[in-house]
Order: sequence, then C-alpha cells, then structure tokens
Amino acid sequence: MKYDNERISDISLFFLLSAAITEVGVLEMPRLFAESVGRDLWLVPLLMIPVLLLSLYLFCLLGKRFPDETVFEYGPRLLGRPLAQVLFAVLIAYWFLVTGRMMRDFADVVRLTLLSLTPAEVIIGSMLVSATYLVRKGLEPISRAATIIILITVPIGLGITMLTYIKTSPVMNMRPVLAHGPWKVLKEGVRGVGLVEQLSAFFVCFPFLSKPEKAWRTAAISVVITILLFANVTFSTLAVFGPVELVHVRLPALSAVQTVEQPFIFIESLSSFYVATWIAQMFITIAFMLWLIATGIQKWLGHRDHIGLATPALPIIYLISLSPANVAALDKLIRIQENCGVFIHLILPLILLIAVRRRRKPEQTNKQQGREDGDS
Amino acid sequence: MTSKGRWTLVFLFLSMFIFCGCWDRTEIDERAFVVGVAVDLAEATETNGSKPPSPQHFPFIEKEAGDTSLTYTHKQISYLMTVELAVLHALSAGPSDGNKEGTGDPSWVIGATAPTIQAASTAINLRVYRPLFFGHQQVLIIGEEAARENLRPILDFFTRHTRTKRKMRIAIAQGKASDILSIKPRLEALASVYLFRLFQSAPQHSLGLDADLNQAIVSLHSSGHAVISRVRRSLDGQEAYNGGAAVIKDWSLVGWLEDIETQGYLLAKGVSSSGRVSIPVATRPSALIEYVYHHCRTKTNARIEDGKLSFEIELCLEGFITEETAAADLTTEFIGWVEEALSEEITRRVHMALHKLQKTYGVDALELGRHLEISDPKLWERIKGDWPQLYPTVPIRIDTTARIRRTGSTK
Amino acid sequence: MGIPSLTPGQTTVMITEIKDGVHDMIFRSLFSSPRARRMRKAKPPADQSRLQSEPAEAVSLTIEVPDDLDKALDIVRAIMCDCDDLQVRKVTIGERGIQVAVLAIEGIDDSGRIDVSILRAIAVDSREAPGAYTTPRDVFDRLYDQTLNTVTVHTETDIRQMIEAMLRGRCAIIVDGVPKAITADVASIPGRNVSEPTAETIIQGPRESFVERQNINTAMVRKHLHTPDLKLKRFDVGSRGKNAVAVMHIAGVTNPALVEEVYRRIEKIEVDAILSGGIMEQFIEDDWLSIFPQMATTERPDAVVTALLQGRVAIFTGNTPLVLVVPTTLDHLMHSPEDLYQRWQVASSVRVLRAVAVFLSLTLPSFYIALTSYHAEMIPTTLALAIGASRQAVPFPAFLEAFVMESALELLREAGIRLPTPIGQTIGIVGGLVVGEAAVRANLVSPTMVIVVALTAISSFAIPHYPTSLAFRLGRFFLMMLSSALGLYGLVIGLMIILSHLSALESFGVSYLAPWAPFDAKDIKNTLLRFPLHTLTHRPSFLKTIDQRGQSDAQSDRPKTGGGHSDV
Repeated sequence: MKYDNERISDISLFFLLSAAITEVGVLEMPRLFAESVGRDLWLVPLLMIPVLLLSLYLFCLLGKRFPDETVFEYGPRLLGRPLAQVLFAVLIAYWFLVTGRMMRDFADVVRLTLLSLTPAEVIIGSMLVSATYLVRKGLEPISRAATIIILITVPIGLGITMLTYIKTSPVMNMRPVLAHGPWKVLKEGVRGVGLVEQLSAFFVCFPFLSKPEKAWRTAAISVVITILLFANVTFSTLAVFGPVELVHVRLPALSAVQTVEQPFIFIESLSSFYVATWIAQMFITIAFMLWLIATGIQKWLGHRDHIGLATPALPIIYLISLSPANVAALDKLIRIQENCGVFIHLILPLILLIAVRRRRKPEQTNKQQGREDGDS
Repeated sequence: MTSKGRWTLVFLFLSMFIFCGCWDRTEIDERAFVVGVAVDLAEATETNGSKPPSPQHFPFIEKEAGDTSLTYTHKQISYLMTVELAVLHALSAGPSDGNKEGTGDPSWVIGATAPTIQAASTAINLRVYRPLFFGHQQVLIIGEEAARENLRPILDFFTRHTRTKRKMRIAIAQGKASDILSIKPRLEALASVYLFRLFQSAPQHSLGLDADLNQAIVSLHSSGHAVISRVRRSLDGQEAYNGGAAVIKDWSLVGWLEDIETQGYLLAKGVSSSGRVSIPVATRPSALIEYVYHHCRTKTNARIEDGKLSFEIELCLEGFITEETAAADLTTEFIGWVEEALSEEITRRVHMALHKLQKTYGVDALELGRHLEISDPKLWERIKGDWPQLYPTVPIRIDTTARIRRTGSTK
Repeated sequence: MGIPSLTPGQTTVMITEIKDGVHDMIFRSLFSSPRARRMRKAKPPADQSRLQSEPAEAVSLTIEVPDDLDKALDIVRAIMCDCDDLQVRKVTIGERGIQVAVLAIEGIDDSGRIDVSILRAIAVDSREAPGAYTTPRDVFDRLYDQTLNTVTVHTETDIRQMIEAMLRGRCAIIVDGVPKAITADVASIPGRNVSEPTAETIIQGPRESFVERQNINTAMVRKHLHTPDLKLKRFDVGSRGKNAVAVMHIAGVTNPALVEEVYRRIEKIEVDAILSGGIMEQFIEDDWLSIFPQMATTERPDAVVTALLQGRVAIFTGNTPLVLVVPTTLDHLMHSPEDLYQRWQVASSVRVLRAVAVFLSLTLPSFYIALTSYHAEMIPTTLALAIGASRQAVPFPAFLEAFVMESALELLREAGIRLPTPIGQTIGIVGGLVVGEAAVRANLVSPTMVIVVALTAISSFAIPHYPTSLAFRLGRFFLMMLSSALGLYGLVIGLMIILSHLSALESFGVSYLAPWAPFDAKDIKNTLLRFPLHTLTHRPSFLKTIDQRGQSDAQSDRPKTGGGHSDV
C-alpha cells in the first residue's frame, strides 16, 4: 500500500522550491547589491523575477518535451554523446561547487552569530550528515519536511522583518529612485539569476513530479513569492541602514533585526533567533542539493537508486567548503558562481531547446506525410 | 534504506560529539557581564621621528601634505577603558528563604589603559578571570577629550564585535566618562542600567537625545556628522543628567547644544514626540503657561528660486495646556493668542538650534543635503562637493503651527 | 473477494470459510512444530503414548470422534492430560440408558449456564419426551435441534477442533455411539465491568471504556452504528494463544485497499500469542524502529466510532481494553474526542495549547541549556543577571543540571506508577515540591531549572495520546544532548533530524504528517484549529475513502445574510 515515494505533487513542489531557494546567501545579498548598485538595491530582486521566470519557462519547455526523462537521459540524444558528457561533468561540478560554497557561507554565518569557537568542520559536518539522513529517504520526505519548515518559519521570519520597519524611514532612504540610471540595476538583476542555483534542479526534476503540466505555474508562483520575500528583507535593510552603511555591515539582514526594540519581544538578541529559522530553511536547501547531486550521478552512471551515492559525495563537498582561505576569497567565489549560474540557467536550456527544434523538424515533416497518407 | 548506510551515518554523526569539546560553552555564571563601557583619553602625545613607526604602538600616522622627507609625525594615543561589571552574587536576593539581601556592591567599575579597545579589554582580563561578555552592554560613554580627538577607532570595536548590540546607547560625557560610570544611582543597582533607562526616557521631554549606536554609526558613515547624547554627572555623584546634545563633525566632537537647542533640533528633525514649552503671558510676564505637545509633524522642503537655494521647514504641533499661573480665562481668543505665542517661541528655539548647527559648527545634522538630493538629484550631483561650504550660507525658513487641543480638567 | 458479513460467535465456522491457504496455515500453526511445518506431510494419527505430557507433535490434521464414548473420553483426557481443569459429566438418558458426556473447562462458566442451559435442559427434556431418546442418533439430533437452551450450537467431527472450542468457552457434548460432538457456547468468563476510562478522561461526554472481553468491546461499538455496513472480521493469531483478533470497518466508506492491507498484515503474524494491543501493534506497524507510534490506541468507544466514520479501521485484540486505530497521523494523535463535543472556539484554543505543549515538552530544557550556556545575549538583561545570580552557587554546568533533573523526574514518574494509589498521589506532589525545594536550597540545582523541568513535565501530560508523549520524552533527551554540545544550532539540527524522521514515516501508506505535508488545504479544517462542525463536511482526503462527504452543507437555520430578525 505504499504510494510512490519518488513522485511529489505540485503543492509539495511549491514548498520544496520555496525552502530550497532560501539559503544563507540571502542574508548578505543586500550588501553585495549595495556595493554594486547603491541606493537602488531594492530594485534588484524585483528585476530578478522576470529573468528567473524566463529561465523557468525554458526549463519547463524542456520538461514538457521530455516529461519522464532527466537531462542525463535525453542529453546524449540531443547533443551527441561526447558533448553531452562534457555538459554533464560541468553540471555536476557546478552542483558540487554550489553546495560547497553554501556550506562554507553557512558555517561562517553560524560562527559569526551563534557559535564563535566551534570549528567549522563540526558545523559543516553535522549539517551534511543530518541532511544526508533526509536525502536517503527520497524526494517525497524532503518535500514534506520542506512544507512543515516553510509553514513555520516564513510567518516568523516575515513578522520579524516587519518589525524592523518600525521607527525607520524606508521611503526616505529609497529616494531618489534610479538617480544614476537603470542600467546598473538591470545588469545586476540579470546576473542575479545565477544566485538562485536551485533552478538547475529542473534539469532533473521532471520525472519526479506527479503533475508535470502544472510545474510551470507552481514553480513560477513559488519563485515569485520567495523573491518577493527577499525583496522585503532587502528593503528592510535599506530602511534601517541606508546605502552607505549597508556596505559596511557584513550581514545586513541580521544586524537589521538586531536593532529592533519593542517591549513585547522578550528575546534580546532577536537575530540569533532569526538565524535559527534560516538554519532550518538552509537544511532543506542542502538536502535538496545533495539529492540533486546523488540523483544526477545516479542517472549519469545508470545506478539503481541514488541512496548509496549521497554519502560518498560528502567528503568532496566538505573539502570544497573549506577551500576558500578567508572571507574575501569567499566573496570572489560567490561572484564566480553567479556568472556560471547565468550560463547554466539561461544559456544551457537555450542550447538544449535549439537542439530539440533541430531534431523536431525532420520528425514533423514525417508526421505530416504520415497523416496525409492516412487521410487519403 | 540500507542498514549499513544508515549506521555509517549514525556513527559519523555521533563521532562528532565524541570528539567535540563543546568549544563554545560558557556557563552564564562564568561570564563577566559588562553592562557599561566608558572610554577616556589617557594619553595623546605627538612625536617626530625619522623612522617609520612600528604598527604595534602607533595607530595614527600623519604625513604632512607634500612632504617628501622621511619625517613621520605621529600621535600616540591610548585610551582608558572603564567597564562596569555586574557582580552576580550581590545582585540576587538569594534562594527563597528569608530576606537575604545581596551582600556587597552589585557593580564593579574597573579600568585599564591601552592603545586600542581590544587591548584594553584584554588588559582588564588580566585582573578579572571571567571572560568579558559584551552581549548585554547597555551604554557606551565617551569622554570629552577622547571624543574631540577621534571617535572612529573607539566605535570600530563595538560595531565589529558580533555580540555587542547595536541598540546600546551612546553618549559623550562632559568631563571624564569614567566619572559617569562610577555614580551610585538610587533607582537601580547598576549605573549602566540607570543610564540606559535615562536615555530611553529622553523622548518624553525632548531636552536630551536617545541616540543608539546604530543611529550614530549610520549617520557617521554617511556624512561624518552626528548629534549624540550628552551626559553630565551631578555633584553628589548619585545622578547623571541627560540634557543637551553633543555635536560631532568629521568623527570628532566640536561642541555642545543646550537643552532648549536640542529640543529645537529634534523638532526640526521631526523625531520629537513629546516635550514642553512654556511661555510668559503678555500682560503679566511673571506668569507662565505650560504647554505640552504630544505630536509633531515636520515637513522639510528644498526650494530653488532664481537660482538660489533655500529650505523650508514646516512644523505642526498638537498638545494641551497643563498649567497656567496667570489665572486667565481660557477663552477661544486667549487660546488663539497662546497658540501664536507658542509658535513664535518654538520657531525661536529651532532657530537657535539651527544657528548653532549651521553657522557655528557647520554640521548638516538635519540632513538637508539628503532632502535636496531627493528633490533635485541633478543639482545635488553638481553641488555635493561644495556642500560643506555651501551649507552654512543657505537660508532656512521655519514655519510653526502649534495647536492646543485640550486644557485639562479645569477651565 | 467480497468481505463476508459475520455474526459474532462463529469463530470456528469462520475459519473454514476463509481462503484455503489461510485455513491450512492456521491449522499448521495450531498443531505442528516448526520442524513439522517444514515437512508439510499428513501422517496417520499419532498414538496415545506419544501424547503424554509432550507438546503435540503429531502431524495429522484430524482425529475423528470415535463411536465409543469411553474411547472418546480417553482421547480427550490424553490430549488434555495435566490439564486438571477439565470437567467431565456423564449423564444417562432415556430408557435405553444412552450415555452422554458433557465436557467443559472449569471456570469458563461463571454464571452457571451449563447447569441451567445444558444439564437441566437435558434432564427435563429427557423426562418429558422419553420417546425421542431411543437411539443414539435420535438423541444426538434431538439434543442438537431442540433441547439445548443456548444460542449457538455446532457439531464437530474432529476431536481437536472440539477441544479448541472447549478452550474458547464452549461445552462439548458427546453421545455414545455417534461419531460427532455438539459444542454449545456457554461462556461467561469473569472479567472487568465497563467503567470509566483511566487514561483518557474528558469532562463532558461519554464515560465508558473498553474492557478485556472482545465481544463486549465490539458490541459497544455496534451500539453507536446500527448499520450492517459496519463489518467485523475475525482472525485467530498466535500458534499457542490462538487469540481472537477482530477488525472493524465501515464498508462503503473505508478504502478497500486499506482494509486488505490490514488483513494481510494480521495474517502474516507468526508468533506464540498476542497478549495485548501493544504487542499486536509492534508486529503490524510500518516502521518498528521508530519511536513514534504509528497507530492510535484508545480505550474509548466514541473515539473508535469517530475514527471509523472518518474512514479508519479498528483492530480489537482480545484480553486488552486498548483498541488500535489505523492509519493515524501525528495530528490525529493530538486529538481528543472531546474536541468534537465542545464549541469550536474552545476546541481550537485547546488544540493550539496542545501544540504549544508538545513544543515545550520537546524543547524547553534544550532551550534553557542553549541559552544559558551558549547564547546568554539572547536572554533579557535583567533575567540574565537574575539567572546568573541564582546559578552562582551551583557547581554543575547547565546541561548536567538539566540531565540530572530530567532523569530524576522520570524516576519519580516511574516510581509513582508502581506505587499503590493512596501513597502514589501523595508522593507525587510532595516529592515534587519538597525535593525540588531541598535541592535548590542545597545549591544542587538552580531555581530556574526546577521551573523548566516542572513546566516540561506538565506540558507532556497535556498530550492526549500516552505513547506519543513517551516518544516526545525520549526525543527531549536527544535534543538536550545536541544542544549541550552545540547550543541553539544543535537544537535546530536535532529538530531537523526529528522532522526528517517524521517526514518519511508512514502509517499504512498515509504520510505521518498529513494533512500538513503533503499540504492539502481541504483537510486543514480539523487539525490545529477545529472549524465549526457545519464546515467539516468532508472526510480526510488522505484516507482515500470511497465516500468523501460526511455531512451535507447548510444544515443550520442560521440566516446567511445579516439584517432581518429571526423568529427564534
């Protein structure tokens, strides 16, 4: 009587994607945007939305064409085996890099706010091992855990962020809008699509959805809502700090929460509590990325299931996460990843779609001929 | 799920705890709670030398402009950092039996001198065995001399340190800051908590400021200017007086604002939520009418007429009469007259504040530059380099409307 | 195959009506050893000498009732040798002096039904109609058709089945010269009377609880639902125990696949005996490694009826008042039957309170450890100084304090259960207060810790389902371990691990966290908050019932639009 453990419904996809997209990088994104764009940093998440939707649309076109296959299965057919192997290696390497960067970022944030003296190895190790526990159970349990986490942490996070607006002047800090012209903001918005690394999961996701035709709508709503929440966080940091100070604060979202002072809040350092909710969402992100890596390798090499592949992936991620030497190197890594991300999320699906078109043309002419023959 | 894989995971997970030493664990009673910090200037000597100074001792290196010689003029600065520690066993009433009062003084004020704040706190640790914990620091008081020197190195420690709260209140002490920390207040056990509450209650009267570290840092980072609380110690050493403000320009103290000027400044900025104004009655100058306002709306506009820049500040206050010693009959005309007199008086106070800020100190504390930037960004782009010179000359017009809504229980 | 509808009491007949495979399997497990099972061959009836005080090793499946009464009695005595509670009464009936033997087990008939319904009936009838008692055949037919005053009479040709029937509470009647036996149900085995539930008390509502007799339990459920759609299916589980297990469900509501799965799992059990519902549960649940219960256990008939109407299946095990209800979700385990009887605002508030209680009972000590040992900046300043001051004299670190206090509380709790009631109550309260006070005064623990532990204990009592609260008790220790090593981060990681475990847990194919995950907005109306009864029109969709609607809309006379006045 077991229902299929590997197919998730559209609502589960919604929650899973929302939880997977929110990761610790968001806490420092306002600073990154402020460094490159200045006062108009709050526009960047909003401009990211159409680009992300475009990328999603491309993925969903691919998914509609091949609803029961992952890219590892239709890739060789579209691009030829050698090119496809290169593509797969790039993809898997990208996922490893992303996960390693996330773990490092995460460990840094935890050590900055919660535990200063604990070695990063322990923090990274405990998170990876716990995430692997969830990954081994399959995609459906990951989505269920994501649902519960989102239902609990998003209202709390939203409430806390709303509190930062009290006694600040967001509108004052926002103006003048686009004083330096829109181009910088647009450019940053397009590059921002590389920051949402989880979209590349759609290369692999479609066979696991019970309603692939609803995937576009669900994923679009999920992405829009999540990015709007980011925009809210970004806006609140702008309200509290202003663009000049924002550049100096390492984790603006957390420090903004720390300035909240209301009589009914009995927890002093609200930012630590806020970080705890982020840790929960980060857990799902890591679990999802691990699942992606394990499933990707499984489909690539043709194994029976993904379970045994999750644990061996851990040491690689661990080593990657410890490789940036210091915080400045980590910032550079984020920038590199952003650029890779743009390639993988926009250019790669385009390439694949073009390949689909090219292969479809001869098929279509055959079909038309067949229909004519059949009619007559 | 294969059981071999599962047990590998469990082993990995548990092994982390076997090898762990709970690195971060510090029991709550093993910490030294720093509730207040006072920073004074201990020493600032200038020396000339031909050798470049070693980074160890000399945080500031000034090279004369255009000087190609290898002469370095440097200042050696060291701070006296005084912290107030909470003595835990004297704070509690003990376990539930009896009325065991806390024995001893609940606050311990101890200081050390060093070139940086971090060095000073380490120096204090040489005498206090518990690690200093800044997570509950309530106030940061900076002495006048230290503030006149440079605020930047002092504030750097407190903003960079992760456990310190950005909500802590910051004030400049008239005189020595360590004097302020060593007062023995009657209402609280710890001087810093008393000071914190004192600053927190400033919005009630608007004669002093309630500036927290975050506000100060934001303001300092954006323009180098800020207006911060000013605090003085009473003669008998049992109270502190939070009235007036300290004006900071380019990260150092340049002067003070008096009580009434501070009220004018807060009104102009639009953050004054309540305060009082008293005016003499025209016909009997020895009689006074007290007016308390609870609501003030401020609008600041930048105006450009015939190529001339001017600012306009509109204030609209609402309040009620709490006391009047003139035994006057509070008719509508009388109230109208009082409102006009109040408006004049408030305008005068704002003018006093603005005069000091604009002309005497040249500090754009009202962020008029920002208002200009918002209303005309292109103009701002052109003149923002000259703004420090332009600002003291810009005319500011104040327009006040004070309304009296109620007159209390008697007529 | 259809689900046959059976009346209670037809145990032995039911056995023969099930599929052959099951029939064979039950017989095999009843009468053969593991070695014999492997051989699976029919052998001729064993001889009597082999049956002396040895477990029945014979492989033969049937022993015919012999014509000769004495021989029959000898066989019975041989099989039941060393069973001194076998009672045999020989009666001579009729002019020809036909011998009839009445056999029963001592003690099964507490109210003297054998005397009245069997022996007296035989005696009276044989005097009143002597002509019918001429040949053994006539005697047999007369006894079977007319004489015996019991509701159930069967015939048996196999001595083993006759003995089993006797052990279940029937009396056997063998007529000399007839190779068959009559069995009649005369059981009135003494048992506890229906009383108030001990663990699931409510304030307003029915106060009956199940007892240890299965037929009474099923009858108590039947009296709520007077419909033949309420099906009851019996199984015999256990090679030595042959315990009767009954499964009830409502046909036309319950998902047939669920019912099939329940039957399948019960039939797969190979064990000596099932002593209680708890043992049953551990044999048929999905994940026996988990600490969370995957079946609801209840001793209230109204809870069972509510569950049946939602589309669940109830499993009754004999000799235990605990009934298993499957499938269950974590949310369902937090419900109390009283929630439906109260007004919806009250019920919703109480449910929210329970959710808070669960959270507190799981995490409060860990929070305390994390905040005081790792993140003192999160506690408000005055409280932090107060806690620090009160902990000054205590020599132990916070996590040790917490572990010791929690373990002490668990000890107290266990001891309180074992103590006889009058002493138990007093020691519970006094122990808590006095020992806590004394410990604080001796500076062994801080007063804050005492409050934390007390609050945790009280919260865990607010959970209506006892095994679930035990699960959270254990989970609490796990979280305490993690938070004493890594503070708040460890606490969150621990919660994530528990959440991962719960996400993958399933109870008969239903996700344990349903309806929250996978999220289904239709079913949210009766979970954390209980919406007004008029809006609860659908059964939970994760149970995949045949008939989704439980009630119709718009049942009240309450006017839908505002304005106007009502005539009420």
